[in-house]
Amino acid sequence: MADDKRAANDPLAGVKPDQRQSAFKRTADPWIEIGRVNYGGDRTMVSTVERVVLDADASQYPGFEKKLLKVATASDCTECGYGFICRLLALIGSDESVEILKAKLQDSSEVIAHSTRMVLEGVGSDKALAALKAAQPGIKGREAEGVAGAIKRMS
Amino acid sequence: MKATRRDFIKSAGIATGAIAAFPTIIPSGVLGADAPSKVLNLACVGVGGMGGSHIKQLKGRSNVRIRAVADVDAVFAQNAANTINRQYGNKDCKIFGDFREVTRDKDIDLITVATPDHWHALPAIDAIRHGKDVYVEKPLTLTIREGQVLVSELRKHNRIGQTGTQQRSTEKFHFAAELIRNGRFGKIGHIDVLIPANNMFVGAEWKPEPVPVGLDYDFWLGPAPYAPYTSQRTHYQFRYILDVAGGQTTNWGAHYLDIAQWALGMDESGPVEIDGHGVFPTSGLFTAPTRVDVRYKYANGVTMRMRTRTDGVYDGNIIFYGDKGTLNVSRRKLVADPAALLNEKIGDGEVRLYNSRDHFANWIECCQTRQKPVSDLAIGHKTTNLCNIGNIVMLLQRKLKWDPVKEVFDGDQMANRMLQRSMRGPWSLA
Repeated sequence: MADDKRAANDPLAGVKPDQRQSAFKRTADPWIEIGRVNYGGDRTMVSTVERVVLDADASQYPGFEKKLLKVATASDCTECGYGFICRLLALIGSDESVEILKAKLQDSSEVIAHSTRMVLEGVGSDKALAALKAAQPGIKGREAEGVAGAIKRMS
Repeated sequence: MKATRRDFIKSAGIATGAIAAFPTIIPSGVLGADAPSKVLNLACVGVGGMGGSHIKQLKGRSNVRIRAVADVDAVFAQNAANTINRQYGNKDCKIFGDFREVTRDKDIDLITVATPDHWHALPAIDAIRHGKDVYVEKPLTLTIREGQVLVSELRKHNRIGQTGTQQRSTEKFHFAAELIRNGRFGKIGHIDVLIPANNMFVGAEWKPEPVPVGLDYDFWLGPAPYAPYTSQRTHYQFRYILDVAGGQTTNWGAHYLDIAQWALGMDESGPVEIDGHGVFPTSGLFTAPTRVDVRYKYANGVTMRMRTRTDGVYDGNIIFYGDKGTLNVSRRKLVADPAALLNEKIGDGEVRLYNSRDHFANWIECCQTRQKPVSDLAIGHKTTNLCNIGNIVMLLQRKLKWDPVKEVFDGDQMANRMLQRSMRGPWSLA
């Protein structure tokens, strides 16, 4: 349709061709929304990212890992979102995830701490084992036994 | 006015984790061979739906005595104890919230496990490590790794373990498997397994709810990742949430894939190639596939396809296609083409499969004779592997090669990382 024939309520009415893309409102970015999901909330965006990661070629893992880590370490990442992200990092994560997340093994939230441990157990590398051992003395409560069990299994 | 859960628990004198007082139980090992305690002392872990069924089947037997129940739901536990006490005409049944109270009780000989799937392995392993024989519901375990540890511990501690795949103790399936094994239908080229569709559904949203009085939700979650309580998560519906179960793939696949493995003589092995294209919910609480479609291929060329049936029948079906005929068997029927093949008699010199007609009786007898039961845990593990790798390939939607002996995928990091899961503390397989 020619630009000068558009109806007044057409979103593209009066928009020059080279400005079309920026004229539309931005839709939610699943890679950002995954860090904002709450328990019981809409997990459609999480499912979208999950599908992308599950379908990825192994050569794409490092790039996706970086994207996930960026969201996981954002200050506004929810506990629920962190859990979802860690499940995916457990599948594609590397020693980079171990290095960036290991401090959270001692998080005051047992949920965050276990989610982090999930990543390290998934990576399963010597570095992951070393990080678990290093964190062990500072971990209390249920996670103390969880970490001990993970170390025993991975050793 | 209808009694609330709180009223019920108050009147029953239950507090979560409380231990009632009872008369002394004499363990069977103390008395002599001729003593009436060829009766084995048994405790049930998980006494909801399936556990309640176990109690119905066990309580009337003269060679076992149900001494205790353990369940994180105090109402389930009390109901079960009431049933048992009515049977025995006393009030002796112990009630526990923590399964370790029974798996570590030196006066208990046998343990049944009928918990949600994520709780099958740990109580069974704990029981085995403390000298008990076990009966574990299907699917045997939530992950491949759990199954490996369970079977290893069973052998290490020389215990007897039966998987709850009771179709192996049914004449119809036994006969079908013997017909196939003895070549009555010729060389089998393909097997179709149909499993029911999901029978529970939830909406796109759910909300965390207060935990009901009497349910130890933290213990219910156990090794599974944290998620807040909602009534739609627990009891029957857990089976549609992949954190704690495997959907209909395991719920029904564990029964019918088991018959396929038996008929093919693959109890110590499995397929070598697998492909899957399931349909998974992208919103809401449930995460297990609503449409299952998995294709297996064995090293001898036999193919098998398991998929969700669309005719609304809530039963499974297995159809063997051989070059001499077709055999269709389910809990409801046994049909052959040509029909005359059902008149065949299996001779003494032919392959005779383990003959059991009562799954619990077989287990109990084996606990006394120390022979392996018809659905030994190692067999249940191999069958459950088919279910669990089925879910994995459906999630990944790609064809993978599987080593059924080493129990690993060939060359797929992501798939191999799915063979085990991190357990929420304090639980672990160690």
